[in-house]
Amino acid sequence: MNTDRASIRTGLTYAAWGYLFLHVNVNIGSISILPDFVGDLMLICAINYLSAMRRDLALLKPLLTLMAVWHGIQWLPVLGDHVNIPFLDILFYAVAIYFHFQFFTDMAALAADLQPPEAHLDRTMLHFRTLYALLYTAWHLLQYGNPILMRYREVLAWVMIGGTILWVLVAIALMVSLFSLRNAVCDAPAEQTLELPPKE
Amino acid sequence: MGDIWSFLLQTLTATGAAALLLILKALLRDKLSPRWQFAVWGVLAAVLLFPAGQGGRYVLFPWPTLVEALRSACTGSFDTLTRISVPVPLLPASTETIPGFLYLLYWCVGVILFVQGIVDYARLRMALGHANPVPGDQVQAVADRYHLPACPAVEIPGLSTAFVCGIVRPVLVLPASRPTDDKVILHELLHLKYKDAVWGMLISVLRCIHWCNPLLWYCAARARNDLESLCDQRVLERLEGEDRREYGRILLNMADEKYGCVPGTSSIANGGKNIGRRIEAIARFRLYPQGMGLVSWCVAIILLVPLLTGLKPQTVWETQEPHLQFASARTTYCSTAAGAIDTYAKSILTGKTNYRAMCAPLSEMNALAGLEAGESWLGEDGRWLENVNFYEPYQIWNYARSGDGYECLVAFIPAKPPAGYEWDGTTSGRWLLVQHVQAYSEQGRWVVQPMGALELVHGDQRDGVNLGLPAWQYTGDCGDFRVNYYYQNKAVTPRTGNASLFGMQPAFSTVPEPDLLYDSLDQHTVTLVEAEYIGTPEDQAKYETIGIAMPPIWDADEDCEDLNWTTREAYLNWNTREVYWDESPIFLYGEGGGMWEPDELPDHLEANFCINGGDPIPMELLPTEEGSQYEY
Repeated sequence: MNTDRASIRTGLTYAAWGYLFLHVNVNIGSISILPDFVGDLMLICAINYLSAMRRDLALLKPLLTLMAVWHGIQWLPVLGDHVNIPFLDILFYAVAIYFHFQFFTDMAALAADLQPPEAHLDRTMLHFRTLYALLYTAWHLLQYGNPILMRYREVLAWVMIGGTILWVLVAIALMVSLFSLRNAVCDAPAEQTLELPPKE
Repeated sequence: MGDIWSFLLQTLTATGAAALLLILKALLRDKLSPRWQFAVWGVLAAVLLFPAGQGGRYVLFPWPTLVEALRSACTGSFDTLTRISVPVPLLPASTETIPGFLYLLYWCVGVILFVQGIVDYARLRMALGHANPVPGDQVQAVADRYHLPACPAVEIPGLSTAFVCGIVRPVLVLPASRPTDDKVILHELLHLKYKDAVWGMLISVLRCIHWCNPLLWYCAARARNDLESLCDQRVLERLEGEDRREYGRILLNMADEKYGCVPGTSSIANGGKNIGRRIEAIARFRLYPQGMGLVSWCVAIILLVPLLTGLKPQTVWETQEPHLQFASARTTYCSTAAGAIDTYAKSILTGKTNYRAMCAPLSEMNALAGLEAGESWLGEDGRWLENVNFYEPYQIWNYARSGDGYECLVAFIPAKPPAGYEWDGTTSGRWLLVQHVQAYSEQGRWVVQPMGALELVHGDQRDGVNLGLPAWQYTGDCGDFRVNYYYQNKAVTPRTGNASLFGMQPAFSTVPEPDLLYDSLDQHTVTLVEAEYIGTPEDQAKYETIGIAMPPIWDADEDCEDLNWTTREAYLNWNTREVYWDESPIFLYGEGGGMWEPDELPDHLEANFCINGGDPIPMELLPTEEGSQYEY
């Protein structure tokens, strides 16, 4: 069965821009003009386009929908400052780390199927995915550990700033790898057809 | 846990964590393997075994506040805080009150359940002692085939399915009436290998402790089932093709069997509903995404740390319900001495009783709680505050360690002089409202104890030193002169805070900062040296110049050999100056200051004194014995 090349390209584009919305924030006053929930919605669109190629991606859609709702509530200017529910914060941290890890595991598998023979996009994605998961975990641990290690608060503040920058850089690297994969799909010879992987 | 309130706090804290885990497990049910599904219960076990409410911190929901509100509403007492030293029930101290009786009831049932579990296990072991030993051929063959440890096996008539009993000397128990499938033996030997009976025992003990919490009972059942699912997974990992389907059919056949669980045992059959869940997990066996080990750990750690460390309340609740508001104040701990002083100062500025309750010793809580609505906790002292500028930062003077705590003066700045007092309008001469306070740690929270009343002091602010306030003083004589050295330290909130689109925002707010660090304040060390003439009046005129050189107090162990420390910082070197005598015999020689403070006040100061350009004369300044840096 041939898979629509345009669908894959569109899906990958949505995914890459979705990551931009999730990891870069530009605020006007207290309102984010690159809200996270838009990133979630773009990733949902990406999954819709790509789930024909990777069945596991469809499993992520319910999680992503919940995350979009949560981020949407947090973004609303009326509620934003008042929505501080540790129970849901921790729940969505755990869901998000699983989501990002699994999403890029699937993207790497997709890259392995679609990339040119000499490319290593799949391995790059897997490396950055692992780094992303570790940074995400470390950053949130520091956030909770910070008040306990008050004596080292200033040092930890610098560590967190450094970690945040690194984390965003890794997210950008993942975004770039998605664009690279999209370009690889676009540049593939027209006569080359994209085959679905065999059913497990 | 020594009373019903501490049990309530511990079990409610665990309830929140259990609810979170159940939701997360439901979301990730088909995404993470049974290995993770069981392991994540370790997070709940850690929460149950870690004393709740440490340092006033709460897990997910503000349970300490709710428990304190309930406690004060039931007992009418505010002078104790619920504390948990060990997360297991201790013998009740008092049973005279209703909460005491309830705790006794809880304790007795818990002990009965615990003893019943031990008796059940002992009876089972005794019964197994009389059971027929089974020739170990089949068990040994299965163990050898899958490289697993084996154990003695016995058979019991009427038993529906196999199980393993015991941790130290485990026994495999098989039904006598029918042959046991190799796959069932494999399941039990895997329990044996991974010592799953230990987990079963731990679950039973925790269930006894929290016997009256239905959610934790449910979690205990789910954890046991997840343990069996994990064992199923291990079995499936060792089986191939048709054997896997056969294993599923064996489980299906057990769905109607009765399930009785004794602590220290593990059985393949664990009730129809549970087996239904396990069969669902088996159906997903090959569908769990692979290579999820790292993210499984990350998710578990991201849950574990916040559920153990919890969160610290930062602000008190402003609510109309007095018990809740007061409980919120008492459970919003001040975690630093400076935080407690900040909270105290702001309780004075605003007159808010709940701010004062945040930093008040427990012995004062009943009196604070007894105040009428709208009544200021300051009492008579409140009259001074009519003229205080709320938005002018308070000042901390002479902050120093005292025993296990700190002492200091807290000073407020009136916008205009109080009625009946005059002020020349200069900054240096403005009045201050000053109070001597002590901060110390009481049961993990920093509190402030006033050491005197609020007093009005006429300020005499110089460059840095305020001579209207007391100071640490050193003094020493050299010929016709007495040299007095004054040292003060001063800290205030930074004038500006965060930048915004609208420029720098003022940093001072009247909302308490219970975690404030003293180092984050603008600190200044200020010193002043004066030379007092103590000779005869007729000789006074012959002194035209004086020179004093001495190291700063925070560097007092520096060598003091040379009067002209030209290579040093300017503030270290007070050069020779001409003396202008007026009617006073005191000559203000100079002021200095810096950002540093001595770790410990020196027991003496060395100086060189130089008169009329002559050779420097070494001298020593000793702390004055009279007065105090806190008396004005």
